[in-house]
Amino acid sequence: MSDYQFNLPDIGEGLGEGEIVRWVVEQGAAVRADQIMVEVETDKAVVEIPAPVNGILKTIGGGPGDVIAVGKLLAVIETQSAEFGTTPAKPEPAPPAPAVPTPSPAAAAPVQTATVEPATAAPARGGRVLAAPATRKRAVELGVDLTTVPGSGPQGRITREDVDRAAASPAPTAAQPATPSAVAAVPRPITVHVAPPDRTDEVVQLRGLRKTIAESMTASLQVPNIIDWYQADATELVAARTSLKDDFAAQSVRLTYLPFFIKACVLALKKVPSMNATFDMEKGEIVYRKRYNIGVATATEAGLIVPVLHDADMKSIFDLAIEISELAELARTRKIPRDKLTNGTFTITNFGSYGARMGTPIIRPPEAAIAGFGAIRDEVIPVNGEPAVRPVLPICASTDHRLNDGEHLWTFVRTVTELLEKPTRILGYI
Amino acid sequence: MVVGQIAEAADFVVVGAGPGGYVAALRAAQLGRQVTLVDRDGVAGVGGVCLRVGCIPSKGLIEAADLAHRIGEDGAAYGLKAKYSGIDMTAFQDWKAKLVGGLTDGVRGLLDKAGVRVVAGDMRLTKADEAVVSTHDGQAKFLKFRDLVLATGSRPVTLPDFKVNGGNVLDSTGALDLKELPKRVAIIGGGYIGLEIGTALAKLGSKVTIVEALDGVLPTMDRRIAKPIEKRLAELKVDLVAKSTASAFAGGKLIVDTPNGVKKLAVDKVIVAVGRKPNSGDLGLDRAKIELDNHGLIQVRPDRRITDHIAAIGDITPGPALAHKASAEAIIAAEALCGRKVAFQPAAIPAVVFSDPEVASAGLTAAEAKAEGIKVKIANFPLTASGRAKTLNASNGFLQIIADQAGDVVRGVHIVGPHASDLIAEGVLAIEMGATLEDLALTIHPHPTLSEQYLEAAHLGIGQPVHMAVLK
Repeated sequence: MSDYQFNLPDIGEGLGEGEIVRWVVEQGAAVRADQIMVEVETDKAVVEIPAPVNGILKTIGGGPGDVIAVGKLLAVIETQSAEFGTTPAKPEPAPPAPAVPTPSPAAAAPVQTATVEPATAAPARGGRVLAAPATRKRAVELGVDLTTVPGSGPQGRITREDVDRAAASPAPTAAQPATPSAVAAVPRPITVHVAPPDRTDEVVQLRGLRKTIAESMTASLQVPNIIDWYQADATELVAARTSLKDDFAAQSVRLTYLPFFIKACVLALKKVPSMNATFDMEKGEIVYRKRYNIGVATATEAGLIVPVLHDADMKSIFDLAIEISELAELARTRKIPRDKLTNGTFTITNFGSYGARMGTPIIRPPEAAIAGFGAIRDEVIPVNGEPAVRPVLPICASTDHRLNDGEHLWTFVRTVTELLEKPTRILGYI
Repeated sequence: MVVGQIAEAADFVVVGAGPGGYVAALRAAQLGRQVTLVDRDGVAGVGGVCLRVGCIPSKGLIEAADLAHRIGEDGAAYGLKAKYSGIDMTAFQDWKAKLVGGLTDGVRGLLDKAGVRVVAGDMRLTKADEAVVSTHDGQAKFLKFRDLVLATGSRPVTLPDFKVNGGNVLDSTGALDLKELPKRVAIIGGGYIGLEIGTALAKLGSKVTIVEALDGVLPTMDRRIAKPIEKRLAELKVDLVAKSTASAFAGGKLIVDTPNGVKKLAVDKVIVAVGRKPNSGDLGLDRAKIELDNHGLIQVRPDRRITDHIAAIGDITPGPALAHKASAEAIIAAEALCGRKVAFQPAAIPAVVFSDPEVASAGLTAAEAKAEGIKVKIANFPLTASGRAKTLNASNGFLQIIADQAGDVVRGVHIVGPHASDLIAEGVLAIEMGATLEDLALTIHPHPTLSEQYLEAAHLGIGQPVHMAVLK
């Protein structure tokens, strides 16, 4: 019998850490290879991690709520055979097969300039990291985890200088997810002087999805944006949906207005290609995206997730309606696969779905634009010079002003509005 | 009953003035804290069991006994005409009292210079930040402390059938205070304390019997280590009655249940040395919501704190109950309570036994390596091959280095032989620094010394022994 040390694998691009949600297998219980052993929440999703070997779950690296850095001990499994006995403390390199990994929102960035060296931690021999006592003391002082520090000395021995270097550089260790340039390049937010928490305050560590959202939103501050607001007479749109709804329902497909919005946006993006583009200041490049991968901001209990409908231009309203339902369910249950969260080229936020009328959508870098749709409500508007009560759909869009001027934005918004006021026009392009 | 007492503000309180407590007090004072050191025996308690009635006095006795014996045994081999004809125990006790007095005075001086106030009495917590110190004259002093270090140590385990009476039934403290050498003495317990005292008394001339419940002496150590010791005990005519328990002592007869039936041993004194237990029961820990484990020990964080403002060190915490462990923890605890980010993280805590020959051990043993599945090299250098050992007329022992098979990093050192207790320090340093066998082999060791055993064992470990024939 021997102990198999299983470290938290890198289960998603740029992932730095994961929070243990639940141990599916109890400590002390038998576990077989590939059996789901533990659920770990990462930036975006809850990932089910299977056991790497057969054995007994002897030690767990933490309980629910504990955050474990990638490469740190997740579990020790006592194996029955001597098969793994030769590598009792070897870091586990293989990621679990069916893991559902997690990009950061900016992971789709085509430009990744982050130069994060993979940490080749010093060889731990029988659980020991090679470092002199004074070096170990220094590491504790500086809060550096020696198991993540690459040793520059003979046989990977960690020197005091290695520890200082690790402390100085925001290494891709615990608290610092190694996110791509779009986020990493953002300067730290300005320090705000917050009153120390009162006894009655609840202090919650920023992590997981909320942290990802925070970082993405901070990154968007780099984008000088402009916003246009408009509104559409939605009479025909309402009629179109109504006439299709029952037909779809007969096939167990729920039809919302969202597929219409997506179709209208795609057509408008084709008219204004610079809205479906990426801007890279560092390289001095504009990348016009030829795919129309439309992200749909989706509220979940844990926070906002943006599943992406890939190649929306090639899908029918029916196809989109089905895919939207599926993605919403996956997002809600935090089971959404990584490829459904990446490679977006444009985002729609449908804040009307929870009743809001108007908003100021925030661009998700490196995308160049975002559109927002409010709730359709009856209003009195002039129709042929007379006041009339009509269902009105508020429409807004925001774009990166470095890439698009007011006229580009207005053309986009106007096109979307016209298409939604006369939805039969969309038919011509499907 | 004390009602409405006003608690005195105390910045940094340490309870217990042993090698853990007084070191914590000194370190805290160095860091600018106003330190109050509480000990049951007040100023007289400074130094604790170790300095006053444990490590230091026992080493005095062992040294005297060894000298006496070497005159007789080795002296004859050297052709010396001197002879050991007995010890004046009163004179020995006077010498020991001066020795201990000098050392404790030294510590008291250090405490005094550091501005540490020493208070006599038993401390009990009354709240998470308040304690009462009851003095021997029945007074109670309430202390409202900012930070507290618990360093109350341990005491000998007692046996209900053998009440220590200061007469013919003694504990280790009493054994070190003997004013007369007993003719026949039985020691209950073959652990390191019983072994050390038994060996010393035998060398001084007592007829010694050691009664041990388990297989032999040093039951917690590797049999490979215990064997040379038992061989030597036989030479010293010490009777080892293993797998046996003493059940009563009356009328000068010790009743022992052995595997071969009940034996009656005629002895003058019985020394009970069956281990030590933590002084953790009467500290009012529940008032600060501190719990004890099944062994009466306090679980501590890596920086030795239990709560944000209370730390525990030494024998009342898990790990070996050794003075040097307590002292090392004391510095960590004091620094942690002074807001520093620190952790107690030794790679090895050495253990030494002042038996004959001496035993010293640090780090991984061969058995532990096997149990943990760590593939190791074991390099054994026998004492018989050491020139310096020959000049000491010693041949019983070895020096063993355990190194990782991958990388040859030294993980453990185990020594049996003269001065093992001093020699082990090099091994501990090697383990702490992550030295390899080659590092040791390339380090020039002075000749002729016992330390050369490291060199030879290291050469052996890398397959190039100089002073040993290699079996092909």
